[in-house]
Amino acid sequence: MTAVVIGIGNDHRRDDGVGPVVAAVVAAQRPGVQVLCCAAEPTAILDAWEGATRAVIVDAAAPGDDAVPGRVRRCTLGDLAETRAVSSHDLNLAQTYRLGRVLGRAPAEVVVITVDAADGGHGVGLTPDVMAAVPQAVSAVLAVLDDLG
Amino acid sequence: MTDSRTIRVGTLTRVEGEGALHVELRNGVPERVELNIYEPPRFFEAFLRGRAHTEPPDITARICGICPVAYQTSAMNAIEDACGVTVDPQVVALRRLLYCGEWIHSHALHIYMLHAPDFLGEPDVIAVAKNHRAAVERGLALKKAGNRLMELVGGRSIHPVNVRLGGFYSVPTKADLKPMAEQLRAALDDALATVAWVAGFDFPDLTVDHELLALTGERYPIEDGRIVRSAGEPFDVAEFSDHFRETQVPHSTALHATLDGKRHLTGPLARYSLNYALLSPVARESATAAGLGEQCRNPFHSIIVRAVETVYAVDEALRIIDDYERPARPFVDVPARPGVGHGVSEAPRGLLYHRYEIGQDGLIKAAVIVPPTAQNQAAIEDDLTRVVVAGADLDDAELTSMCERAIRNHDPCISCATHFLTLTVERR
Repeated sequence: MTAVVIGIGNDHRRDDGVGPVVAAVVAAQRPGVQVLCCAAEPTAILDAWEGATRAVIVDAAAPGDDAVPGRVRRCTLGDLAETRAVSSHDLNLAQTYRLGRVLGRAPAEVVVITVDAADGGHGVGLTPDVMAAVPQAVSAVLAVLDDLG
Repeated sequence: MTDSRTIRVGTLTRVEGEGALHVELRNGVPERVELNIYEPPRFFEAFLRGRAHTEPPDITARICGICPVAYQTSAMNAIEDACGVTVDPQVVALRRLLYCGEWIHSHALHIYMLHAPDFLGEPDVIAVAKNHRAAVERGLALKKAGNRLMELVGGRSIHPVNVRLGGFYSVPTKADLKPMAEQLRAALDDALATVAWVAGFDFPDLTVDHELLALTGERYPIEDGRIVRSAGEPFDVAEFSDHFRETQVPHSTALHATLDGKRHLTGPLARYSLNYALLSPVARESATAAGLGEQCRNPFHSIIVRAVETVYAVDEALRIIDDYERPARPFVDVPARPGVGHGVSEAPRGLLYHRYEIGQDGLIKAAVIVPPTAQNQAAIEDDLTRVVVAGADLDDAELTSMCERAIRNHDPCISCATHFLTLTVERR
């Protein structure tokens, strides 16, 4: 079993950068695990998880009325199926996964760890609630990796 | 008895941004054909005022995630013009190389992920991949080569960060570009296979008589050039505002632009038809093999033209890398100078014009940005009228599909135009 951890986000949009931050901490703690950071761009993601049997994706959940900044949740791509691509000129994560499955270039399982964001505005640095949630998000990723045995 | 007919479609898919289409037919005659762009205006021209003259390349890049290099390049051309600065020829070559990456990425994306499903009767690229797996893999590899080229020269593929007024923050060595040449040689085979693939599609008949507008120059126009047109006299970039009028129409949040009061078309068809002789031999041969003549006035053939332009962009990138000599300095200083500057370049979707007025304080006093989709709205509405007339016998679903295809022929970027789609057809 091989796993890849993919942190998705833009570290110049405040809490949107939490995915890459969590991925970087996981990389430091599990040297043998392939950890990548990328934008949610289809060819980059198809390349990132190629050959892996399981992918753990870490991403920020958009700030909104239902968001609890710093809340860490584990979900599947099915939970995200209705999300829209950032650009209608591209595919969203769930569409990229479906394309990857058709092409034989996607892992059998994708686990998504999300951290609710407070601020997706311009600027670098995580807000305190999201920064404080990084260890919990890292633990959630490691728990998925440890399930692999 | 009056035959009225109304067809409504929700949000148009596989176009960039938010918009709608409304068509009303009475006795099979279209009475109203409107492209309704309802994406909110984005006010870029207004908030550029008061910014430093060095900022528009980075700010305007944010207008579009698909063609940021076009915005950066037209902005730099305009400001460098205002400031009377000429950049090193090798820096210009690097700008063209970066722009080739954007063309390859943008054209591959539109051909394979947005446009091909129309010709294969599929809803999206995921469905296409089920029956045309090798083709989709080829498209992804091409897109990736374009992205890689943008990363190499521009620092990253979306909104490149290595671009600055006067040149680049850092420039690659010849050795840095060598691995890219290997990837581009494979991409050239993929691009040629793309032309052959799309040339085999079935194409509806449609001939349009829009005036064509594009740049031209010593080479096939990409990063700069002179303005030429199919009917009228060519004019200087500085005279752009004398020939263009932007008007607000009630059904669109994007300004409509006309050329000397008439509709015109910019983009791949115009560029190809006005610059056929400037294509490289391998690109010209691929066009001939695909059955294209020296002119192309069927918008449904635009997918072939984009494929030929992809061949050109890959071939041209290889040429630039082969000829490349690292410039002594990555950039030249561009001190602010009060005045007005004009800049143009060929975005994947067509001619992109920028104009900046710099004040005595060195800050931007006024900005004008005319993107290709805003220019093409009237031409797209004319194409739609022709498609609706020709397709009067089609049932509502078929006619709606043809209308959507007629729009996607032009790869409209609504987000750029508002600086576009929901479809409504009414038959009475």
